[in-house]
Amino acid sequence: MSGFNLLHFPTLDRQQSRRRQWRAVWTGVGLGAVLAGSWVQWQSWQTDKLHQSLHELQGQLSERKRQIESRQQQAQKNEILRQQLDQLMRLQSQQQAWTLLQSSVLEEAQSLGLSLQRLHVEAGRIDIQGQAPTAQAMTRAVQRLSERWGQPLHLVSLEASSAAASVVTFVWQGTWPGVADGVVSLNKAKP
Amino acid sequence: MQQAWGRLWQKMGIRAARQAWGLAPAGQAWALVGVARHESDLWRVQVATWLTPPAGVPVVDASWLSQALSDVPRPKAGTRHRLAMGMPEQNLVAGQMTCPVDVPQETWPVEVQLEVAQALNLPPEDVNFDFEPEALGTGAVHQIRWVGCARALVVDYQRWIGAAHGWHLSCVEPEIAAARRAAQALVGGLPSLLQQAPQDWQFRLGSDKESGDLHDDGMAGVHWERVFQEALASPAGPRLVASGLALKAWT
Repeated sequence: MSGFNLLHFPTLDRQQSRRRQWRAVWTGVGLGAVLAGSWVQWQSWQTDKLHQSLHELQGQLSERKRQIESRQQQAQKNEILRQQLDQLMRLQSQQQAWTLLQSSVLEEAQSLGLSLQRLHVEAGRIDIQGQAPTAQAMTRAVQRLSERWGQPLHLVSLEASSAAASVVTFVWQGTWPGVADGVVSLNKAKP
Repeated sequence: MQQAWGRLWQKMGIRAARQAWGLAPAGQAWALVGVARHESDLWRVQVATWLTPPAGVPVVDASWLSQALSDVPRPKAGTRHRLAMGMPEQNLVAGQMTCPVDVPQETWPVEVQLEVAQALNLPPEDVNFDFEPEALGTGAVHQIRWVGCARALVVDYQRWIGAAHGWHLSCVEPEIAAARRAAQALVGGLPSLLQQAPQDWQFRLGSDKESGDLHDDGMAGVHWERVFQEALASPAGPRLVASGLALKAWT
């Protein structure tokens, strides 16, 4: 009878079973708290991670936007430069055409003894005014220039000079096509 | 699983205890013995005193015990002291019962409770009891040894100790078992019981092999038992019981 304790049944046994129940409850509560804490911690960790990802993505988005804006600005600059280049090329062509026109007119005038008083080009129309020693020289010159340019020149007015009987004052008029075309025509017409 | 944890926890608490008390009835008085662990396997009596009822108190009423216990000087007065009380043989019933092995252990308490109630001629809810199964033999039954008493006696004990400040009733044990524990653990054997003052008693637990041998050893066992009964009946008997009750904290 060394191990007997008369408190054991039913008193201690009841207390022990109650204690066991409480222990189970508290163990459950503790375990639940630990699990809940772990879950919350994990969620917090995940949220932090997502925030970090979001921050990185926002950074990347901002960078892309900045790059797009930069490229758009660059494209606009390129467009402006291209337009300026076109404009310059057009001006260069017109300059060349004008030079050719002038040189060809001066060349013919010199060879036939014509004296040019006015050369005017405006809105695709060319007006040439001058004096020729003879009407034949003026006619020959207008033919040669028309052939050379590939564009007909029309005699608008012809007046005899009062100082010398054979000298005539003339005004030619013709259409002056686009600068590029004009240049080509002049180049083609050149012997 | 939880029961195993509970037992382990309880055992750790018991092992860690440094002092325990036993309280054994001696007529109208009570023998109170405090035993403290001195070395790993040596216990010494620290306090041995008699608690006697004040004059004029009715014989059947031991409520004075609460106050007497509260007045006992103790080391570490602020803590609750573990106290085991002895139950006299005349208030106990004991016996053995057999239980088939296929009867689940959970139903043993109910079976024993009915047995105790029948032996005491009381309703089952009016008894306190404890039991232990013997090692399973070759048969298809469990032998269960049980001991019980009227619940009212235990309730009185609980009431008295509950009202005593600083005490905690941890056990109510049959006197004879406690006395046997103390006698078997007494350093110097039973003769030193009468030769030494209780304050000088020392105990070695776990050395009951010697007395076990005596029990098993025919005539010597009979002699030991006779000396033991004489010691129990002597004036030192209640203190021996109280010492054994205190020692139960470490068994």
